[in-house]
Amino acid sequence: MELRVEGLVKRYGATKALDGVTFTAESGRILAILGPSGSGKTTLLKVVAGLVAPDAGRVYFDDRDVTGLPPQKRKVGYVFQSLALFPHMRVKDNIAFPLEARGRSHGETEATVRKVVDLTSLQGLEDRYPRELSGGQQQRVALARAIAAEAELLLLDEPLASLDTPLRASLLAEIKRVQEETGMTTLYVTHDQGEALSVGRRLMVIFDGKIEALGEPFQVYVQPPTSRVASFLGFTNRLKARVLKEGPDHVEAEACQGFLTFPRGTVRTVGKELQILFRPDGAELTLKRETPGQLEGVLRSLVFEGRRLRARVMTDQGEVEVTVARPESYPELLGLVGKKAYVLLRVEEALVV
Amino acid sequence: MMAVGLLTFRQKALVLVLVLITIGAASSLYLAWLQPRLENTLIVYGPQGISSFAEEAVRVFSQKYPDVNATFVNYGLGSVAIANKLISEKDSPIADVIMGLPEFYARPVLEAGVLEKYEPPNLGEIPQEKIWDQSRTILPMDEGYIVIVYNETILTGKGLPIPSTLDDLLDPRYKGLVVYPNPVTSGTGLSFLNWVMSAKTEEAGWQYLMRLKENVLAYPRGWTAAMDMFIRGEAAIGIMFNTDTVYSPAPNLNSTMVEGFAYQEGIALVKGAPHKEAAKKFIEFMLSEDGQSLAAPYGYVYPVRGDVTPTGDLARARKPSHVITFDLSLGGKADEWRQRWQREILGG
Amino acid sequence: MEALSVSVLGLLFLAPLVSIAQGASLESLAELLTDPYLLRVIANTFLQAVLSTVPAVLAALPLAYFFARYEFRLSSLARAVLLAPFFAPAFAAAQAFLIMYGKTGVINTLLMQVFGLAEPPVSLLYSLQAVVLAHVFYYVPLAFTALEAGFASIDQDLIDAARSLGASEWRILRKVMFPQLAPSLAASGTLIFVFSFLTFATPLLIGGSFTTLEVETYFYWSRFGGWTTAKTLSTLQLGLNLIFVLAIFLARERVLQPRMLAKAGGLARNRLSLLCGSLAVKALTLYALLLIAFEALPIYFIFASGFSQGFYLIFPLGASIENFQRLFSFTFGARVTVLDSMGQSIAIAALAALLSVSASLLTAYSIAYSKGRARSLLSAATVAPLAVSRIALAMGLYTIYGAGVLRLYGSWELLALSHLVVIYPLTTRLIESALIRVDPDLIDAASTAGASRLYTFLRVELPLIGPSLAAASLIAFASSIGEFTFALFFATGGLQTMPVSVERLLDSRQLGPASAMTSLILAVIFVSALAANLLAKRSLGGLTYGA
Repeated sequence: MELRVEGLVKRYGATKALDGVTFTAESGRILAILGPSGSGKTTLLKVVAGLVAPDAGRVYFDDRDVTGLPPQKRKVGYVFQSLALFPHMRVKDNIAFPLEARGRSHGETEATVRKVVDLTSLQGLEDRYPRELSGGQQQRVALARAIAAEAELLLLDEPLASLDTPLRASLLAEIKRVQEETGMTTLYVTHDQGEALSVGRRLMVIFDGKIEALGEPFQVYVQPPTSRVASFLGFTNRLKARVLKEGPDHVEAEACQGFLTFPRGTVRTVGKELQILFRPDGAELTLKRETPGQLEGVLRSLVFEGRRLRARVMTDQGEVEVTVARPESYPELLGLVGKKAYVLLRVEEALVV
Repeated sequence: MMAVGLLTFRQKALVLVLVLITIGAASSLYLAWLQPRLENTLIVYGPQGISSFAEEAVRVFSQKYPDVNATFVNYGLGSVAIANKLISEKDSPIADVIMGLPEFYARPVLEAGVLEKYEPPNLGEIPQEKIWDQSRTILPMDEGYIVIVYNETILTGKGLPIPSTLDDLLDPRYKGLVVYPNPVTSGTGLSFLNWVMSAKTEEAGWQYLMRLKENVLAYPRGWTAAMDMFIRGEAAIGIMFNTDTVYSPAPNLNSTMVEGFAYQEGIALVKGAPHKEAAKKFIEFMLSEDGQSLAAPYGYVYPVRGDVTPTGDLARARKPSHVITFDLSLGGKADEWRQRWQREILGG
Repeated sequence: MEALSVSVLGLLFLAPLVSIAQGASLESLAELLTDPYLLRVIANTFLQAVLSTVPAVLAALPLAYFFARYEFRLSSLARAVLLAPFFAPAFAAAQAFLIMYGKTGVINTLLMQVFGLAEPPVSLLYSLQAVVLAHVFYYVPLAFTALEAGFASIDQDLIDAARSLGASEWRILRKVMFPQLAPSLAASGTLIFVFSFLTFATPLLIGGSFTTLEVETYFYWSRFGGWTTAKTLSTLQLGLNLIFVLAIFLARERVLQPRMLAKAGGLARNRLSLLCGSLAVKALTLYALLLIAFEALPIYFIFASGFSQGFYLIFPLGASIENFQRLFSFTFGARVTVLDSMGQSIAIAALAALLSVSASLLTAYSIAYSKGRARSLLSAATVAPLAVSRIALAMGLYTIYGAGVLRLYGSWELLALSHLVVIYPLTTRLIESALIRVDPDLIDAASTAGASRLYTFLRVELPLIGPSLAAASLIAFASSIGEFTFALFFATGGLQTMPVSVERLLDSRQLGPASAMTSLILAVIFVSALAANLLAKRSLGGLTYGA
């Protein structure tokens, strides 16, 4: 079922939770929706589900205008962030609920429940109450309930948010598997970059109720269309570089005592200044000036994070964060906090705006 | 309990609903079952003070008319209070007959329009001068005398003089020893007010009552409560019936019988009575020889029929030498006096 | 849904009050306002209300502080004992006072024995003092719960900050704690003032010649045949009651309910240690003990005097069931036995509870899911019966349903209905708070699963608030068993519930059997309240009382 959404607007008081949202979700595919809290992701899901009525705009399921339809009549499976499992019902009753609510026969309900239990690997847990289950198991029950009544659309609101990190990967895989087997069009909402990038065929990034990116995850990641999307996707370092020379196939600029050369293709507009965005792991930290392209600064802090080190260098444009991939150099570098440091930018990984 | 867990939700819900309906139905049925007990019962209202008399009358009456179930109801109230209860139930009468209605409270009851005139066939057998209600709605039932009584043992024990007249009661040595029933609720009490107002003038009467207040221990709700206090020795001097001096539970009670007040009570049919025919029979019975002959032995009051002679202890009781009778013109003041008494004497 | 609730309210509550106002007359009003006696009664009513409120709130304040600040063993027991009078019906409080402070009561007997006196020294009963003291006894638990919630909403951080800035304890009390506590003080004060103003059983039983507006109105109706005067008096009072309704509504909505539902930090708590504590702590503990004794002893002595013959100060020595034997062999007028009376009380209470919870379910649902003005209005309407003269309601119910076409006077149906009117606010409040606490996501989940609103209500919300419904039923049952005003007003013929039986026993000076019967009533009420509490705890947080 193809989901199409046009010009959705939803105001809460003075703020706009959705400000003209338009997109299409392909039938049978997962569309990941990424954004910070308060960006309107949950509101979007609620409007699509029919739990909230939009102030403007329309929602179409396969060209059927469902905007005025109450949630009961839309065939939507919704997994809430809080899971919203009925605490007074056993697992099998939770799963059976959508079927019973829609008036299916006892036999049909039982058969479907069994099928869904198998699909979500909940065998043996049917008679338990939600409070007796682990976080991951509860998550699967919520999923099972959402798909039980053969909905056309599956909506997932931050499904992994309440789980411990080790569990997340396996559950994410489960979700993908279930989606594949059922073939339901899916909207997957999250604020976690990693999840959003890996879960779906398409990625949508939303800020303040507006879509700022929509496309293939890899593309969006590598070439974020706006600076906000870029920052969100990890391009947290931002510098201004003074343009020195503009050549036919490259542009030379200077920032923080470093001379940088960018291929002409990566630079979109040329003016007197370039805005450069780069990721902490898109640069290297050294203690000696080795090339003229390095930025100069003072090593302010060094944090050990297990697999890597996070270094903060104070330049004349503010702090810049650099990841050091060799954690074993920690003791050595620690002693050099406060001393001069140099940052070598990997120009090909940087974004020029 | 294990089985309960195995029931489906729908079944559990059904069971619960059934239980609730059963509780509701059972309660309603029980209450409805209680009602008919009184539905086919002749209800006679009267003061608690005449319980012995009334209950015996009801018993004998029920024997005589086996198809009628009769019961006497007093709610623990005095004669004025039960009359008021009758008045407050005007729009939806519960009682069929009221008895023990004092002469000096007749007017408010008549004016409230809660009684219906009925002249039983045997009314002619009652001496005409005994019929005190001009409209002949309230028929005479019995009579007595209110006098000053005292507990002989207590007074002689304290070396105090015996009171004879109203003014004697003002003696400061009697402080905390005097009781008289509350005129707001009790006929005995209201009759005392009438006595005082009839003997003195109204204003002098109120002044008297205010001065008497100094000596009063308490104002019991009715004759029964007052008698209780005498029996327990809590009260030494009071205003009670002359026949109380021969009332066996109170052996030390005596009276000089110098002056007294005639207390006449009546019986009447309630307007809108649920069981009118049976009520009429009861009234007729109370005026008959059978009914009247119960007055003396059970009620410690004098019958109104000439052909019934009081027997038993009553015959021994002396009557007051000087009897003050009720001044009809004062009849309308009953409510006014009661209110004023509550405010000035009780409240003060 | 709203329409249904409103019509229930209208029929049972507004219509009777309107009929009373119609029965009033202007001449009567003129007479009234120039009658010094009645004006004094009105003044007295205000006076005793004020005199009841201030001590009750002030007395409860240190106690609430004590419980909020210190942890100690048996604190739950202490709290349960403290709250007992709260659940006892008003007439039981009056009776308890008779037993404690009467001429032959506990205090006098004790003092006479200890000091060898001939006359009882304490003559407290049948006066303004008696009424006020009984009220204080009765309302300290209410003030306590409200103030406890108030303390729970105080932010300990603020106090710590003030302390670290060098503020003295006294200053902290004045400038930090008191402002945070002020709303709870005001709210509980408002409730107690209104309830004291409307008091009936207490002045009737132990006020003596000190009467209040409610009692005087009752007298005019029942003793002096002054129906017009009674209705005029009532209409006057209803004018005041309107203000009361507003006041109580604000007190509950703005102050008490939010505080009870909030899970704020509250004061930091220490273990109570009497050995190491300062003099102030020791004094406070002593005060708490005395106040708890003041609250608990009268109730204890009702049971003691019920279960012993003669002198009950030395209870449990001298225990006997003689009073019960006398009680059960007692027959009232109209051949009503004690068992009849008990049966009637239980049956009417069961019906009133069923009706009340059903009606409340409808109303609570409307309130929980409506918004804005409609919601406030409905909420206020359900509070109203608590703040209105019951005698006025009784007279009105009698006028419309008791007399006239229906002639329901003397019927259990009318009594049960009248109970419904005053119990319904309680159960609505309880059910409403339970409904609010249901996770809205659950309802959304049910909607998206295809369930209609009704289906969701039946299969999701109802089961989840089940324990609260049970608790509300028990509270409704307990309230009906102890209800006195309507029971007295409508008691006639064979209709006589247990509280009226107690009153009649007291009138007949059958004090022992009266205590026995009240002990039974209290036992039923306390067990119900305890069960209700346990149930409500299971269902997401406790009960919110009075508030």
